[in-house]
Amino acid sequence: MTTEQAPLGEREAARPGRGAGWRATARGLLIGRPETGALFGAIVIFLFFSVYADNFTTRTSLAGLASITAELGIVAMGVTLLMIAGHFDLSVGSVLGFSSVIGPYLILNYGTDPFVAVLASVGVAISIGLVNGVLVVGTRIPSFIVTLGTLLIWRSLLLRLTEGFPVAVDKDLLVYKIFSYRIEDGFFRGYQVSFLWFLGVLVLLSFLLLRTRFGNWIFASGGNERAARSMGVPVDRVWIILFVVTALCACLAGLIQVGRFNTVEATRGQTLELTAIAAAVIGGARLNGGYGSVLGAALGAAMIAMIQQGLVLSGIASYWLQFAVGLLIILAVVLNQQLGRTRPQI
Amino acid sequence: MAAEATNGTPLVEGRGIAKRFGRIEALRNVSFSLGDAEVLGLLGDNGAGKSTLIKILTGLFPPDKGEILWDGEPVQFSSPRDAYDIGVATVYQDLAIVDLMAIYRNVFLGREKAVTKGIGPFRWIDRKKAHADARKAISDIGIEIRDAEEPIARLSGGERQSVAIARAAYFNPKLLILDEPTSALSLRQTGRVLKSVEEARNKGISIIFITHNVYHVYPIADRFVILSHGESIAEFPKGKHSRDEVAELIVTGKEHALKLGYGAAS
Repeated sequence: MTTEQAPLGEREAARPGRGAGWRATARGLLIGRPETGALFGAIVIFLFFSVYADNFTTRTSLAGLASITAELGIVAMGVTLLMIAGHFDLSVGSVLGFSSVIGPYLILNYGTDPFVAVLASVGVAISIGLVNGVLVVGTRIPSFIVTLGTLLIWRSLLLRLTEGFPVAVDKDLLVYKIFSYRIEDGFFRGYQVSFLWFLGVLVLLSFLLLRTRFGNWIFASGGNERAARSMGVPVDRVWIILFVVTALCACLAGLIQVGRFNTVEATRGQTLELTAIAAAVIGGARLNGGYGSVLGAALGAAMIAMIQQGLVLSGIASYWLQFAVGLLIILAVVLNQQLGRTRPQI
Repeated sequence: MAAEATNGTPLVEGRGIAKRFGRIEALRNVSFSLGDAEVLGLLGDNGAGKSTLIKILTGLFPPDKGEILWDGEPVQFSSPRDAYDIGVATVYQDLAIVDLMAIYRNVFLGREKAVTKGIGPFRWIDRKKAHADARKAISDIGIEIRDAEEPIARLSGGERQSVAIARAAYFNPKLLILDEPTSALSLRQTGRVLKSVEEARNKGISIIFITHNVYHVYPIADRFVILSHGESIAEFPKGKHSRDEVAELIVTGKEHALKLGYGAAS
């Protein structure tokens, strides 16, 4: 049982709407929220590259940003929910690759109906999530280890299915266009439809986390498993469901990439697990669970995407990408701790 | 409720309760009774059998011998759920509180249905109602909170204890069991918690207050039961003995109780 406490004066300052007008309200809205640091960080990075990188704010560039953010963000948001509930899923990159190859593989080798093929991908993702979840809950082995194992297993099966060569689908297959095509006109002209999926997942998972009973259970399962159990929260069920949700997020990102590239190769999704956890942490998620934000993870993904694109557009060698992201992770954790002094250390 | 009290039927009564774990005799012979809206101070040194007795009362396991009467009827709890359904709420020593979560989220943890709205599977937490109800639950036991959105981690030890009591009292139990609610608290914080207990009693809830420190429970208890080595060695209303006498009884045990004239019946 933790007993961290803040000096009283500090807390008073963080309370919204007590007499001091809009400034206090703004402070109340920002301080103590997990995504505050990410929001500021995203704005700073955006402004930085707007000034220093050529063409960073053109519609083409922003659409590219949105596309990278969407694919990474969808996975990161799933990973974040699981982290808040107290678990890791290192297998998301492999799940993305393996579940998304199923469709093209079936179409190519068995002439399966494309719609059925996509459903098969989703079905595989659900099964993988169940396997991860049941293994973690059943064996009590840390999820970090379990999913490190399944990371290798699904990657290996992906290699077997592709035999090292890209598996391609017809680039006009309508069903994959649901996940990825360029919007021709309207407000989102030039953007990939994947960005809309991203926004949908963002709203859905945020609502789930912040406004539903299940969301309360997610926080409780990760914040204090024992307390959650003694209050009757079905912690094991929460975890299994979240492993499935995470796998489904990875699968959705995989389907989007099939639509964008028309192929799945053996390395698809590799190292994504680390980038996704990075986005989650940058977004304010606590490594030990119990704290974090879906919106934060989305912003974290956007930051990583901006750095990636900003470096390219400013003509900086791409070697520096990982350097920058690494720096960002450390900065984010330090900043989040400063903003949320009253909560236990990340 | 008043009628039952005048009939003299206690809300809950234990008779000759015994429990052993292998070779260890945790409870040998425990009897007690508690009326409506009464506070029973259940006192005993470490190892006297207090925890075992609570676990029996909350349905974690059944007694080997003896029985529990509820409103005069024998009851058997096969799970904590049974006990909860009949009206037994418990605040354990570890409080079962999630520090990083907002106060209102803790108050409704595991019972979110009390504050959700919507249709069928599409339900969501009505935050306005949840805030208001959490605030009311806590002010009902005499504590004012500033903001129901505040994480529990920012509350003091006494406030946390009070939130846990408020949560238990909110769902209108008939019996509230408090396990060492003051053991980790400063004197001032203890006073605050005692006030909460009093407020809960004023709502008509009967309370079993478990402690090894008579000075904590004496101000608010109506009756006392002293446990020693798995036996209830004395049961008496407040006023019969001074707190110092009670304290001595806890330490000296059965011999002393016999001298005072207890234990003849058992």
